[in-house]
Amino acid sequence: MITLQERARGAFLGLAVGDALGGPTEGKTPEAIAAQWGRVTDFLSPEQGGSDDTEYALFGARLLLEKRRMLTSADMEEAYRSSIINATNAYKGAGFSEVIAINQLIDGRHAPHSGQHVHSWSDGLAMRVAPYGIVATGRPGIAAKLAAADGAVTNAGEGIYSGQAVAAAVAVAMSGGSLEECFRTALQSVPGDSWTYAALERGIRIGSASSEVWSALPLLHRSIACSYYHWTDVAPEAAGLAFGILAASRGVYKDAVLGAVNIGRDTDTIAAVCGAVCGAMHGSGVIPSAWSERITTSRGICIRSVQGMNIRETADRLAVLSGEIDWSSST
Amino acid sequence: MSSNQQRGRNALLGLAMGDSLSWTSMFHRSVLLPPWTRRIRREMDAASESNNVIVTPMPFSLNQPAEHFDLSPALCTEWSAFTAETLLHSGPERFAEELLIQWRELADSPNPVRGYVSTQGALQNIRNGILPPQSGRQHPHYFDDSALLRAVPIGVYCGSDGTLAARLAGLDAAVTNSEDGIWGAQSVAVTVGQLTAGSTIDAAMRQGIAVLPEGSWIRRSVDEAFRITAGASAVVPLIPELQRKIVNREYSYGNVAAETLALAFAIVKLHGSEFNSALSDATAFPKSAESLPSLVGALAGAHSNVPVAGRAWTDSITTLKGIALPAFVGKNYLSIIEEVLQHAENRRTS
Repeated sequence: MITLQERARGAFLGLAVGDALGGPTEGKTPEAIAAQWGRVTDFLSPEQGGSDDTEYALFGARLLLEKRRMLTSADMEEAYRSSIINATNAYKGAGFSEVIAINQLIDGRHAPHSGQHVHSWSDGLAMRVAPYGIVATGRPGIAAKLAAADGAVTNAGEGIYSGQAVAAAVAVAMSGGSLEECFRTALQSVPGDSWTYAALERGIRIGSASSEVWSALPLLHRSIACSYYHWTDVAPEAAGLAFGILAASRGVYKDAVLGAVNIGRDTDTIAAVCGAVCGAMHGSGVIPSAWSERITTSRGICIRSVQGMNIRETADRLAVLSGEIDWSSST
Repeated sequence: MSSNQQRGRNALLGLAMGDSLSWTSMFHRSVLLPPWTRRIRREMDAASESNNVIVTPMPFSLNQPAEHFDLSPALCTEWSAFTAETLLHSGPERFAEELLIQWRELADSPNPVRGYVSTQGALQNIRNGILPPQSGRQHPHYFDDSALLRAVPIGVYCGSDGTLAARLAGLDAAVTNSEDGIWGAQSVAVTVGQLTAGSTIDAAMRQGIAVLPEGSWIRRSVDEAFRITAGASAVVPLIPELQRKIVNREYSYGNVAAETLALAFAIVKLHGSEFNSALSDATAFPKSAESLPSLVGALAGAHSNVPVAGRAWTDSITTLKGIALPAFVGKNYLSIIEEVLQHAENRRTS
């Protein structure tokens, strides 16, 4: 029997470890990764830590712990204004979607207009939604709604859909759902004619047909990655690759995050998504302790105000909160 | 010749003139030269990090044919000509089927075509069996302005029939784009059509803007540009504000439909009756250079009753170079224009 606390820690630590493990290969092609390292199977340096994925997840988690209710885009916008825009390192480590949205907020625009821009489809939301899946354990609709409220500040369209899919999958995994149930629910939480749906469906199909993760990577990359495009933070692509890897690895934590680290493109986010789903499904015990021991408190590199937040403690508090919020008025 | 024909011709000539003037077209022309010329330019660019010579290395021909750098149409015009030929071949009823045939052919072509992120994304999708409209949705540049210029010949072809113009431009744009990228193209087709039919600039733009959904990114951008130009009589004094409020600073590309259309409408609203001023002002937005001069040339041309291109210009834009579409090398652009005009005239008088 896996406790809720073990699952919550598994989701958050799973995300943070994936984020840290995928850092060195982020933005590279599979060929470049293979040429430099062969196959990456472990951390590559002692100082390798997490990045924006973990810090923005902590940012959302802290807001949830403060509000203790369904979040609105106005809540999130206010948090951006008070904790990020007014901070000295507002943009450090942020991606296009956060930076452009922040600049639009500074220019006096509001959600959802602040999220309509040239990177509205970024994976900046999908990378940070695990806390919503934790707090909405077994309630994927609530998790997706929290993700959409958060995402409307920085993203639009596909960027929000991919966040909804990941949040919903974590919510299902948190309640002991199977990988197939995670996939089905994720697909149900996005529009059927969206790119996100198509990419998730394609990834799941290719991954499920593969006998193990490594042989699935080239086909997943070829079928889903936008190799003609320089920037890699494309949410339908990252979500499609992540779900394909989850399917091919059958939800085995180590196989999934290592597959993600080696597939190229936005590897830290792909690994973070894989890590969050597997960790929620199987609990923190599936994360090799040599890896999870590296994750303690946030260094606050991208968002100064999350510096010092303890990841296990935050996960524990989200697990407790999940039993305390009455979601009946939010469905 | 009717004044409708004159304006239609001017729209398509103006497009090619703007395209020729764009500073980015100078870089596009360099693809006609051997790769080593571009490699050396990139090396010079990279060396600026260490030698502090930051003047921009320009495309050069050295001992290769220098005439490739003569003023000539490039990316926007060739892709517009592609859509024009597709429509001429199929007519409006079979346009969707013909688009699919032509785009599949491009996707499978042994000579790869060059273009925008959206065109390359759409081509990869088509090669993977992902067909329109999903081909225009499943890539990161659904919002770019690649379809806006392809909509110009559609507008000329349809004339005052705005419903048809919007429908055909929607079909064409959906191959490569989605949402704002499609709405912008429809808006261009409708506006160009109304202008060639003799509407005033304000009336034509009203119809063109009505195509843009309320509250959409592109609609808000156009509204913002009009707020800035309200009461003004010239573009130049407004350039800093237009640049700051309409053009993104953060991103690696400037050819964003919401930005290009807003700037083009603002310029044409103020200077649309003076083709030459409008065209020069359109070159004053460096990050928007990819498509803005072409679009302004097309819109201001569509409003002009007197010939916009003299001999020097028609000589420059007659022959396409095959920069984007290798198969178009040597094609006579003026002949394509005349064919579009003939069809437009037949539709108008029938």
